[in-house]
Amino acid sequence: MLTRSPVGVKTTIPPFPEAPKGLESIAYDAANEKGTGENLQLFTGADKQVRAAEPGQALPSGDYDVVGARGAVSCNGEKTYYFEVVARDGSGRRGVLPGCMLGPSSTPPSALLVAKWDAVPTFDAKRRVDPPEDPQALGFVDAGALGSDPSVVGVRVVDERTLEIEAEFPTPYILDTLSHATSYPVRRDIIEPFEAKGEPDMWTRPESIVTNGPYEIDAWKFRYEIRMRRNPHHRHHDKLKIHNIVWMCVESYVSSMNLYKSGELDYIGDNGSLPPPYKPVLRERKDYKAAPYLGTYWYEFNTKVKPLDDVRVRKALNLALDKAQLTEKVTRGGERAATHVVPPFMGGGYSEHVEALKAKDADLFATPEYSFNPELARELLGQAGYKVVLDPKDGYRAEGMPAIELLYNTSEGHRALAVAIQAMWKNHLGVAVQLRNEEWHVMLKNVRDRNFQVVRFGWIADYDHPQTFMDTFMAKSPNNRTGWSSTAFESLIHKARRTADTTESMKLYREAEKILADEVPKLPLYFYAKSTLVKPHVKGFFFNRRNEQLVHWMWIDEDWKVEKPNEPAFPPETFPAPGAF
Amino acid sequence: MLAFIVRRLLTIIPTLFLVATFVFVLVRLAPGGPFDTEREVPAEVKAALDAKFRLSDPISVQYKDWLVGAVTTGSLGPSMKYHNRTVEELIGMTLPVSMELGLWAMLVAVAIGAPLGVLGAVRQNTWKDSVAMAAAMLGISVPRFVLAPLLVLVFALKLYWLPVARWESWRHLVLPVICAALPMAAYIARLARAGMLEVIRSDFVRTARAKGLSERVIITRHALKGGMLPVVSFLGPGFAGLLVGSLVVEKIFDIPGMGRYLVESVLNKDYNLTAGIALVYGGLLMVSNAAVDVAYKFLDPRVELDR
Amino acid sequence: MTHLLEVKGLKTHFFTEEGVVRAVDGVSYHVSRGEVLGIVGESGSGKSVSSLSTMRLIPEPPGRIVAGEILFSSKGGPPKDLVRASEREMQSIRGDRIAMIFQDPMTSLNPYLRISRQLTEVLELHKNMKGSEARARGIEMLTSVGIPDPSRRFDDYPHQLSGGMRQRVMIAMALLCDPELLIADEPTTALDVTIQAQILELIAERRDLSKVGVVLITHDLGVVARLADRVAVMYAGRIVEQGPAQRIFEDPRHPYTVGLARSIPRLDDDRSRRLVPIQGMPPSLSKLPSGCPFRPRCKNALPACAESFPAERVVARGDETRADASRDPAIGVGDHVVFCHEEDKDKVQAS
Ligand SMILES: Nc1ncnc2c1ncn2[C@@H]1O[C@H](COP(=O)(O)OP(=O)(O)O)[C@@H](O)[C@H]1O
Ligand SMILES: [Mg+2]
Repeated sequence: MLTRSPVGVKTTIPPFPEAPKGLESIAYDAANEKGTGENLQLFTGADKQVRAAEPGQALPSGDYDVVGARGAVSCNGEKTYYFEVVARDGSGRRGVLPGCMLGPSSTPPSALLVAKWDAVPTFDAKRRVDPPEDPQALGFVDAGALGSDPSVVGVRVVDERTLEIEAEFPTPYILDTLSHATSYPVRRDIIEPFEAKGEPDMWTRPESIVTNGPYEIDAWKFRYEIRMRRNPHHRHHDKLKIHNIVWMCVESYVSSMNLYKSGELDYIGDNGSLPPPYKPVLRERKDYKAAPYLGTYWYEFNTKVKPLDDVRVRKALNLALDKAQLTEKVTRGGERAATHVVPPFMGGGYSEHVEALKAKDADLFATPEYSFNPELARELLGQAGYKVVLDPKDGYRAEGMPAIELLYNTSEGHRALAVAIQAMWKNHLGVAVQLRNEEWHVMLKNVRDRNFQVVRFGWIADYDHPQTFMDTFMAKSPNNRTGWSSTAFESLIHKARRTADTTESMKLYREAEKILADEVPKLPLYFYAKSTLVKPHVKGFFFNRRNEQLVHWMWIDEDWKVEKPNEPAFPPETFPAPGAF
Repeated sequence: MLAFIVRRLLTIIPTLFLVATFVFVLVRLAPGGPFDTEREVPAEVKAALDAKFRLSDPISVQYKDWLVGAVTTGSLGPSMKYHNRTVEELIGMTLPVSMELGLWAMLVAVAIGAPLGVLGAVRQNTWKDSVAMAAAMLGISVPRFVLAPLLVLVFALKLYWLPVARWESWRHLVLPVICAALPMAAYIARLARAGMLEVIRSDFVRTARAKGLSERVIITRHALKGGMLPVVSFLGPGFAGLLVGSLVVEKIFDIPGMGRYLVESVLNKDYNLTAGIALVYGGLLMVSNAAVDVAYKFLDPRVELDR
Repeated sequence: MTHLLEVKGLKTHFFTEEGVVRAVDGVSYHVSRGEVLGIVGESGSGKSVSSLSTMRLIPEPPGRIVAGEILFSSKGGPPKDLVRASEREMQSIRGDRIAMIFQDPMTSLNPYLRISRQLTEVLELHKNMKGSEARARGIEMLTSVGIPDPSRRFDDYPHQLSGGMRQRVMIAMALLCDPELLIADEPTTALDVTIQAQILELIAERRDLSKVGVVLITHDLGVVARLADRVAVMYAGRIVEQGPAQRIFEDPRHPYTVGLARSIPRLDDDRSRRLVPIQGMPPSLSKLPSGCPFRPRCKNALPACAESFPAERVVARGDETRADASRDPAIGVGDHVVFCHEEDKDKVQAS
């Protein structure tokens, strides 16, 4: 069978030679110099089509149908939210629309943008129906009501440049949610003619699409490359130091690394991670960049089947795993062992809260009760009725414990992890584990049919707030496949997300997390990290925890051998006041 | 002759029809669907998708519509994974690339393999023969996914003669074509050698010798045609093998060919794309086999086409 | 006088993995212009190998001419030893001075080439003829070998002709350049009886017309009887008896020849005569018994037979000019010689 990397065998990996003396980067060879000047060649994984980490440049991928501006910028720790708008009527007017215009704005340029779901021209207060008490995910729009009665949606166009979003309750992370691709504004006047023609997806083609980021599409060779050039309407277009971008869609990592090494790529994009077998070698290099990434890799239990319906069994399985070993020996990409669900570097006040707890040595999830603890695990399993006995020959054996089946989608990385975990459960608990791997779609079907015991999943944050993780544990969440639910947990979450005070709110989130750690519907394994290679002549490259690297900050340093600070191409502006342009 | 070619091509149609039917039904029977994602899709969305791709209709109705569309307008339906692409568009983008790669590879394979095999046969049991056949053995036993990185390592990453990957200029063609061609060339060399040996030992070559013809004339005029017949009959399935082999080559050299959809469309449950790909591959295979039949007629006057 | 072809002490061996196959192991014979020498013997006795040796067409390796001379006197010139001729010289002789017809007309013509091409290439090569001239000569030749409608047949492929027609084409091809020597290796074996007669007739006609010397190889005594002036009997790579055809048929001296004659039906047979096959199997040429190779099958074997291959013994001298055979070891034109330890041949025949 084909795995993701067709050349995943060790012998075929081209060695990364040692850096020649006097050069900063192995991959940079003066004889083979490319990528200098105004062109930056970038790489992006092909399976996601393209994910340009650029406001307004996201193209429809298999996952999303919406295109438009976006506004979460984390550069130098500074955060701004805005939508960018460009008049395509030739007037050259351009402007900035704050992501969530809760206040009035000055006179707008006409008919520039607007979200696809502004099907609600006016907001009829009289017809307003209070949303049900249990909105699923975002807390401010009831997605289900969209189709049936648009007037109940708490979103309205106040005027042509102002979008009003009415929240049911103070939602601290509402700005963050707007940086998600699903809230990008798109041009109705572009889309609707296509819809009328019965080709509702065709507006995304380069000749039709209108985007409002600093770069616009020049050419799109499907699943091969996307070429971009500066958007002349962008307010910073004359400040951009990179004039053209080539996003290569490279199928295999071996190819992309070779392209990088031979100088055809300046940067191995932001999509995915470098393959684990390379990491120990690459980690030592100066052009290797890695950063934590807002995601958690976990195993989900089917809590409706024996013996996993017993919380003591689930907890025992959790405590019997030496997760630090997994990240150091198996994944090897700077991931961090997870004893709870929300990555400690999560925004929305969470990371500060965790830091404060750590400083006081009060991080509950660092205690032996939640960390790797095989003795406690064996004790718990014994309490559940599966006494763990030590056989001098075979090691531990959990008496009466049936074998557990671990399901994962076919992939080398998932398999390696599953094998390691299988060994740990056997060694520390004497629990037999059968591995079952299935191709992705088959696995999804089986999981939906609850035809599994333990299954490999994970969650990548949709926005920079703990809520995005907590949602997946709500009883009604489509992402909760465990069969587990808890009213205590849900009422804590309801309370937490209505709490305007950050510290208070985070405290509640941590309390909710404790319920998850005690009941273990999902077994967190590690917090993600992302890694990539960036040529040393690429300056203005900034990592962030959402793995969004903005090209408009980047520039090519022709004189890169002289060490200098990594600065953006032009000074980041602070968020302009509404209408101030 | 022309009548034969036309008739031969017409026989493809029912076979192709069977292949299409088979694939069309089979992909739909396999577990999982094109729109399975990790989160449960709301019922309305699912209904809308099913309506758009007509998945709620009975298979027979879907099949009828698909077939009518394919025959009347040449439309193979929208891809279910790449929502804004039609199957014929995806194939139209990638097939020429794969064909270019495949045809070049076949050309190179024949150009390398046939002379090597002839050399081996003519110089049978000499060191030249041994070297040629050892090379052929090596070529057959080294899989492309080993060969390709080696080629890249030497010619692209060490010598900087050729690009490591991608599909831009003729220079980008060299390594993938060689990589695709070598195993086939090796096989052809063995076939050519065996074929030539048989012919060289045959009575009519002895007759040619008895006429006083020179070795060169004997080989080129008398032995080559018959000796190459095994090679020619291999080219049909060989071309199919190349197309399947291009899956690996295209992936390693990052060539935007059709190979990627061969397995991927099945994994993605992209029903329409799978059926379209099967149709194209099946058609190519059958056409190349028909081409072999025609070539046979040209080479061997004893072959009766009108049977 | 010099013979057209004189083979002296020819030994052609094959060096195979199983051992040395002594396919031809000391054979001497000669042919003159306008003469037909018949070489008979069971299949596997080395007839073809000896004729291919003459053409220097032994596949090498594994075969090699290890000893002997093949003296060919072209156009009455001095004899030339073909064993030592270069490949280039051989190419100019083959198909031009010495031509060969093979046993199986079905496989001996190239199925992928038109007959026209196969004929004209010989003329192009040896006679420097081109285009229409070569065509005309080719068609003329087809006419003379009795192919009906030759100008239409000329551009046919071999498979469009019957076996007899193909052998006629082979003969035409062999005679295109007016060769001095024609080696016909079982030219009729693959054909049915009526066609056989026609083909033999054709060869006889050519002998008479153009005085071509013919080596006619066959395992069929009947064929030899029709055509041959002289006969050599081969057994296990050796000639065991040789002499004028009439003498060999009327007075065979070697037990093998006798057995061969008895095992074959003859047209002039009276019905009562029973066919007697020779007992036993021919020996393996790589494991020949000591002495006379026929010894294991010979009813009259003597102790001497196990010791050495018998020397030639002249039964009847045909050529009076060669009074003293001992001075000229080669066999005279009309000599009847036998290689057998058994002195009293008449007893053998009588028994
Ligand atoms: N190429 C060869 N390699 C080994 N042995 C051969 C070869 N050609 C002929 N022989 C051997 O030489 C012997 C004589 O063969 P041949 O002259 O063809 O017999 P025939 O009298 O039937 O024409 C046979 O026993 C055969 O095995
Ligand atoms: Mg023979």
